[in-house]
Amino acid sequence: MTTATLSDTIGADMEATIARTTWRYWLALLFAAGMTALGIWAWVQILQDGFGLTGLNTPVMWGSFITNFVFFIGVSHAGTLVSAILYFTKSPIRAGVGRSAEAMTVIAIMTAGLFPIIHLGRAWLGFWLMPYPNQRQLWPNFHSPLIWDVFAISSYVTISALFLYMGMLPDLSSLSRRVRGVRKYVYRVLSLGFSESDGEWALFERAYPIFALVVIPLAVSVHSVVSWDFAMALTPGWHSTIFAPYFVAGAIFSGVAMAIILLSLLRRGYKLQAYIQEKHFDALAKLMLSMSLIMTFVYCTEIFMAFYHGESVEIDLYIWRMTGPSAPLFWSVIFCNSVVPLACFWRKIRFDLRALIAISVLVTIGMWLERYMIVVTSLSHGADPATWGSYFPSFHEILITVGACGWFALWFMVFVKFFPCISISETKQAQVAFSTVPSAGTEDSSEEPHDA
Amino acid sequence: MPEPSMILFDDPHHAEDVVRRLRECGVDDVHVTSPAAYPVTEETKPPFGWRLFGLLALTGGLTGLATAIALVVHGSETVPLIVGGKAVLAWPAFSVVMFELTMLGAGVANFLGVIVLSAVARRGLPKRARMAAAEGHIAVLIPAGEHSAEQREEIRRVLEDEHGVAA
Repeated sequence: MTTATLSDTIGADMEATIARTTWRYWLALLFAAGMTALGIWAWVQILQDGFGLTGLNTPVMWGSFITNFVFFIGVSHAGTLVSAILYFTKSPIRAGVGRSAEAMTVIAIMTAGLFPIIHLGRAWLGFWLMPYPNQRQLWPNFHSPLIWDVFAISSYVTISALFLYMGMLPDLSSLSRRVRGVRKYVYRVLSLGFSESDGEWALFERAYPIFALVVIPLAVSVHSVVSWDFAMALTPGWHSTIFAPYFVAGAIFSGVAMAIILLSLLRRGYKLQAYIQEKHFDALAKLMLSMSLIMTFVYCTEIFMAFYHGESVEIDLYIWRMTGPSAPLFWSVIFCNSVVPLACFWRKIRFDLRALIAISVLVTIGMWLERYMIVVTSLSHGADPATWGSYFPSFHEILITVGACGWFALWFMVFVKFFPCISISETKQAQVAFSTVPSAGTEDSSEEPHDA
Repeated sequence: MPEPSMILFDDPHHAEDVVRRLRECGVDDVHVTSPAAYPVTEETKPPFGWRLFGLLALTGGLTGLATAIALVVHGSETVPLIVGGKAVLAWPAFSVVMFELTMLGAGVANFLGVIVLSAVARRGLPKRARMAAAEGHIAVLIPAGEHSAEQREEIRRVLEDEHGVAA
């Protein structure tokens, strides 16, 4: 296949994902929009009537909102981080998974960023978090991990969005010559005049690694900072030095699971079997399995350390988590995050997309429950038995959680409708460099699977 | 200024061989347009080196760091809160904000560098070369500059061998 034919085929396939809109897409979009509307309705109710509509009360003042915040920050983690690592390792699978994963990152941070604002209660005062000279003569407290979050997340969302945008410039330029009407104009403006000259490619090849080099430590720092929101407090179950790597590993784990779900939907919905191949899922499944093993190790270490250093409140908390009223939560987390992913040791499972989706869904649920367990059980069973209490999300909090999932899905669907979900230029490059991407339109030609 | 001669290729390796052949006989001012970052784009003389991008990122990073230091020092001294017995200027606590803004500055400077320098790099590129890349071809452009007799002979031979289009 010549480069001209290849360009034409890849370009046409990506153009089709943008131009072709099936009734299934509209139905899914409507469903996601409906979920989002429910969440917005619940939030408006809380803004009108106050936090009495939530289940939050002393001692559990952080509940489902903070759980959602940590969960979506975690989901955001795998995208840009994995994409940058795949870039450095010159992995052939990056062409297929990188773009969607990067988009997932940006959308997940956008979703996560809503929750601190919702959790404020008086959301209209959210700008008080921003450090700027103001008439109140007040500055945020830079000693507080909560203000570190503001800086970490703002930096991460900016750099992730620029990383995604920079990678899309050649594709936007290519699409501007393929489509017509308003889109042609919009793509041309967004491509910033990129014209595929050797000078521009050389610039691209020099700037991109530096960008990737900035993204990796930033991604690691973001979830570390989120973990310090907890670890800096003297609350039993939170005050642990292992929290930063624990959260980073968990974030990659949940992010990879979400990437598998989204990529499988894209592959099926847009018939992208030629680009998102079984070997991509195999690689992601292996990564998910590795992360699961790390998570299991961390769970064991946490319990071991609690019992080893012999502090009674810590021991009591962990025994209560495992055997008390929250035991179903604890064992569900272990089942979803430590037991279920072990199935990925079998190559048949890694190459069976339905099984992989089922595992990924369970991991996603398990990781949400784990965040919930960390946030809620530590607060409800603190050091002083006189302050123990219980918490369950209210109807409004559940609706906001549903709304957040809808919001995430809605923006992802909007993204794939307007932008190529697979990098056109990188797919062309991979075709020449690795000769592993099959000719577009053909069925998956992955090599025979082999054991992990 | 006369238009450069152009040769179209469909095989990136073939284009790479031709560019190398021209460079070996001293024709250094060859340019390429290509639908992807094929290795042939690295065979031509890059307009800007690695060092420039390193310097850009470093400058951006240092600007971010300076902004962070100014922000945390000014903010903390304006509202001198003592938290957990820590000093008003508690550098370990400030290190997170300093790190984040350093990385933000480096990333943003790098991005702006690409946008501005790309505009410089594509100056004078003939429209037909852009169109060739848009159609999926690799276009090798040989400028009609001052070449020695030997180089002119080699360019003529290459154009003949590869069915190139002279300006």
